[in-house]
Amino acid sequence: MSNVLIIDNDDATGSALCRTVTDMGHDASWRKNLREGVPLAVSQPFDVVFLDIHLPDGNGLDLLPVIQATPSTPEIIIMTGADEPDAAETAIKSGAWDYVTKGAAPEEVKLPLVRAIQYRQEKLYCSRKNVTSLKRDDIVGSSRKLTACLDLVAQAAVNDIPILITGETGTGKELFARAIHHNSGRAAGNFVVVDCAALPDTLVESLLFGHEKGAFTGAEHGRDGLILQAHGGTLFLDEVGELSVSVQRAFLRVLQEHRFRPLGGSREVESDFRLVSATNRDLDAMAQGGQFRSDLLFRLRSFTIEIPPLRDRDGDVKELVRYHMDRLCERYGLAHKGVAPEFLQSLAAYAWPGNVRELINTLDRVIASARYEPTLFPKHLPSDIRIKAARAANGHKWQGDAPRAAFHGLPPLHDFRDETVQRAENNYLHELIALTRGNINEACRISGLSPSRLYALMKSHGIHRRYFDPDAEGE
Amino acid sequence: MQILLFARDGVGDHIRNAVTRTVPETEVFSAMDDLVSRFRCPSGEPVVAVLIVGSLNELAALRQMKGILHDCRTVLVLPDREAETVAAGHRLHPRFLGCLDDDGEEIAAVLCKMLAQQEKDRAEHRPGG
Repeated sequence: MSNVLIIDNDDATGSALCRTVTDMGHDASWRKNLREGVPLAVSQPFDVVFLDIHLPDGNGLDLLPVIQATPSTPEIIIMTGADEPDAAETAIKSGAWDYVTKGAAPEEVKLPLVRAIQYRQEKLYCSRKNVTSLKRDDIVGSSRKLTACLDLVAQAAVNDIPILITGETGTGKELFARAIHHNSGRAAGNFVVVDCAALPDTLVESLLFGHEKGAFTGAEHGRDGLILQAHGGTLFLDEVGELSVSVQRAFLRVLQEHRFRPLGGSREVESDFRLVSATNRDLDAMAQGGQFRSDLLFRLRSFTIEIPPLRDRDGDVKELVRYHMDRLCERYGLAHKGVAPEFLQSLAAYAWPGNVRELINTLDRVIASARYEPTLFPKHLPSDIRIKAARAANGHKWQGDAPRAAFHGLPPLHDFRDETVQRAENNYLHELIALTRGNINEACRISGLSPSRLYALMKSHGIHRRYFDPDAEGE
Repeated sequence: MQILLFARDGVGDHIRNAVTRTVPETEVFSAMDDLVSRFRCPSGEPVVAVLIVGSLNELAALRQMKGILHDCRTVLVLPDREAETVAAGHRLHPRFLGCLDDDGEEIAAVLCKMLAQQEKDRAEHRPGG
């Protein structure tokens, strides 16, 4: 069953269309003007929108791009008068799925609708298939926005055009660039990172293009540049907005011809690389201000992927927390930690201006402060984050009948006591094994436990000697 | 921010000296096990690692530690410029790839710019900031 929105002020046409749609087993919503119809299209998912051109508050064609850009990206069928062939042409040129004549018989409306729904279902299926078969590396999450982004990664991976990845700081642009490389035909080649923000101005050209011995004072050896190192692979220009205008000019030529001359060299060299760039800056504004070459920008963004900020990725915080918490605990040789629902609620309520990177740094800080505690509670979070999360939650999410899980009462004494003992025992054992660097005899001497009892307790708490004793790796 | 530098004694001394002179708070490790132990202590602070590799065996050992290096920005200095060595180096996803015969001041300059950029990002997105 699909959801269909009808925006038409004509009672006879609107009601007949509603009947046709519902008779076909779909849900129909009907609005008589753009003022009500467009917000509905934005707030609810629709598969198909029937859009009249002549509405009391405007021309439907003017708002066609707005409706196409709504989260559900519906297919749009324009309704025109019988005497408006130009309007039909304009509708198709604007990217509408099809057009129908107002007052047409139901049979004439059904076929475009059936085809639009079929097209949409197949498109969604292919999109899911692409994303499912994608090697995601460390890209974690299943929100609608992230999935749409991964679909673009899958599309980008199967061709060779330059890609521009945009997004706020900390959204993981490099991870997406790597995913494009690892899923492309160039995966066996090098993935060469050029951190444009970290290259001193005096070194950028020699690092990018390489140089011959003696090309300049101090050039005691010849050096291949990063562009040549990317031959057969992917060149990733991170923070591309930081490149100086003179380097942009030189790089534009490389991008056009894939040939360049190393500094001090007499011959050109060739590099067959695929370019992926990333930035968190507004390159259009920079181009307007003369800080970024518009011809280079045009070439960089043959295909653009915008990484959503974490605050817009509904539900992904929980998945990210589980994934990175397990990874960090493993790295630090700690038992995997449980998380209280309130802990996750606090994290989900925070806005994460520094995005995924800030979340990972926060989890690292949490682990540093709750090293041997088996369960994480909001008290383990940095206070500034707790305060901001609490304010956000009070302001938005916990009003009215929303969940109040954070304020439930005390647990039964039996549960409380068991959990406290478990936590204390876990802390003690971790300290013990860390102190003795995994030396069981020494640990038994200090604790007064027998070896078999100590091993049993370590096993029950998921503590391994190898975390503390490099020589015990094979255990 | 923590800066950790690994170099076995006698390997890349000119780079180590330039880095520690430019960024005095750098923690220096000359044994791989000590570096691993250090990485296994949670500190809650972002890490930048300067890894000066003296041999292909050391590079292979670092590749075994890829999971440990996951969250830090890495400046990797390779023992030579052979294509296979460079390819192995890129698989560690360094933010900067150099070679033992590079000028130590260059590496230090890259590190300084990287740290300045990191500090700028942190200041912009520090909670409460």
